[in-house]
Amino acid sequence: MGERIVISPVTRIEGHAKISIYVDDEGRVESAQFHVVEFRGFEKFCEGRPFYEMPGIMARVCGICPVSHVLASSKAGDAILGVEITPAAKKARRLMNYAQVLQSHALSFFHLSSPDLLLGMDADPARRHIFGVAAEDEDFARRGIRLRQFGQRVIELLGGKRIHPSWGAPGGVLKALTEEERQEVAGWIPEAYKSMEIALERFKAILDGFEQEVRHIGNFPSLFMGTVDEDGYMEFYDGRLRIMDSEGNIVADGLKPWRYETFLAEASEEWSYMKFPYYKPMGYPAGMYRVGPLARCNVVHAIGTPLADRELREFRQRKWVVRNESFLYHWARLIEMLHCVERIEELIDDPDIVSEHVRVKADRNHEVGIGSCEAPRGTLFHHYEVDEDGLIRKANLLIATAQNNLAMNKTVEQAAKHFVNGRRLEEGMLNRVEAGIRCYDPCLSCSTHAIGQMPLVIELRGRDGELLDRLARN
Amino acid sequence: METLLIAVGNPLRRDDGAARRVIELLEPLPPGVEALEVHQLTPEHADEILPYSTVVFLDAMVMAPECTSSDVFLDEIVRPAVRWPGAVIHESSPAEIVALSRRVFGFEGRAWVCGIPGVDFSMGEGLSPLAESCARKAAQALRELLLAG
Repeated sequence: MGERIVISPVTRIEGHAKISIYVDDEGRVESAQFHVVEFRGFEKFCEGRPFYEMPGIMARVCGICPVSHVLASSKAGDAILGVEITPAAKKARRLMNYAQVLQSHALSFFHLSSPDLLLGMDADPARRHIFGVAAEDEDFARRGIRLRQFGQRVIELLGGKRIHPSWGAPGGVLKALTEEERQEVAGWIPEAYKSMEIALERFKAILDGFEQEVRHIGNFPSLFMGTVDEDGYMEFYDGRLRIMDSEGNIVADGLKPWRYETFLAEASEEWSYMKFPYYKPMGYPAGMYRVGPLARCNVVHAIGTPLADRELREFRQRKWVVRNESFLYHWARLIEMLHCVERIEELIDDPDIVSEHVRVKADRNHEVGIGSCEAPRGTLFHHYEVDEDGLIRKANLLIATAQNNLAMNKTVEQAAKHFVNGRRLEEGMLNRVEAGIRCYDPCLSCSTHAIGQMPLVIELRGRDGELLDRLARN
Repeated sequence: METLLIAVGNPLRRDDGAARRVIELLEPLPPGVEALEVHQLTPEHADEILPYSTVVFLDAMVMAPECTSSDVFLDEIVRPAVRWPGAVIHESSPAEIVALSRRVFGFEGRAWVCGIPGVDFSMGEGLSPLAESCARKAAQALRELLLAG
């Protein structure tokens, strides 16, 4: 192996990571790795805490998708109690989950990826942020900010605050929506529909300009996994797991999330803190699978709401096609956002959404509780084991982003091999490698704040450590 | 409402909660003044400041542990600047929020930033003596600003 190019940190993602690109003596890329360089340790320091505290603690895992952790944790708590929560509580949880997916996807699409999409991969890096987007299309930027604000506002109304809401609990939730709050949510809906219409049209109009990126950034066969309901429709809160291959064949269906250890396993590599989950029957690394918007849009029979289904049909080019191109995560993300708006509208029209019967109480009845849901980035599992006093003996979190780890690594390698010339580094080449990571919208750790600037330095070194080339953003 | 006070910080990281302490000291807030307490500034705040003619961002300033100066600053944001590459994505500065609001939402009000020195940002509640003293000074400075209209 000749030289190593390091992109550190990867920008416009949630958390801290770097990419290593290895090139041979001719400057051709041989391989690439995506390293996650931060470590959190939630699974360890939760040991000894009462299980009913877990939703509040787990809300702190992430500042972008805390709701997913609250819900998976609450569901694990439901299982430890051995209770069925009330219909009103279930609808409230669903409402908050849709709001969360909407706001998280809006952040990913409008704030993190639209600078590449609207301004171009080779645009001046100093312009590739939301201000650059605003300069290009003020209305587009405003709508993106307000879509996220809508989702955040729903979370705040239910959970008391928009980040880290300690609202879910074993047995239900702590608060329902009031009538006044329901009306406020309803007031946002028309604007949200209009914004989604504009965003989808804009994306589809510019997609043809990214033919190379679609073809060479994360375009490979893999398995896909997502949650579906009993009829195969898209499901974010509860259901069974479906695994599909890259040709549209259902590999496994009706998988019970609480039995995840029987079909998923986790490998580790010394060069990354993030685990490498894989589909057990196919082994490691052949059992690579993708989760999240692209996977969900691939595995479902249909989405289940009319506007999103119309978009899904176009996404699938009006036939049953599994899309293998990771660049299309962006499109799938937009379709899911539209679906979320439709579901939020349905839920706030349901009389149960203002019912105060949102909590059932019981004692600890089981030693093990496993909860899962679809987080913005894919399927999330929380697995707790408790002692006779209900204190956590073991906690295991299987995070969506980790489940995409194998695919993200394959994506950066594929993108690097196609776009990077190891003898002549250009910023746009490396931005395309980073863009491969952004397709997955990885959430490496959001509850700790970045302080100050995050400069990007890319160095090309010879095998003896000699600096051959260097690019830097300040 | 005419004035919005935005207190930024995490009260579980001791002096990082100094801005929230200033709001406590100002309560009850005068007519026409509202307060918002947040862990961090995010792009949505660019829209939320729109109805106000005056916005004051309050935040703790990280000082060296040996610092004894209790100088609070209260400056008007005249030319909002934007950093790169982290600009307005995950955590934003007051100047970025004001710049974004002016550019995208048409904010026409005046904005100020109030920095409160702190020396202890470890886990836990309660301010250091220096931060407490600075919070009181900041509250007084804000009263004068609010009275001056």
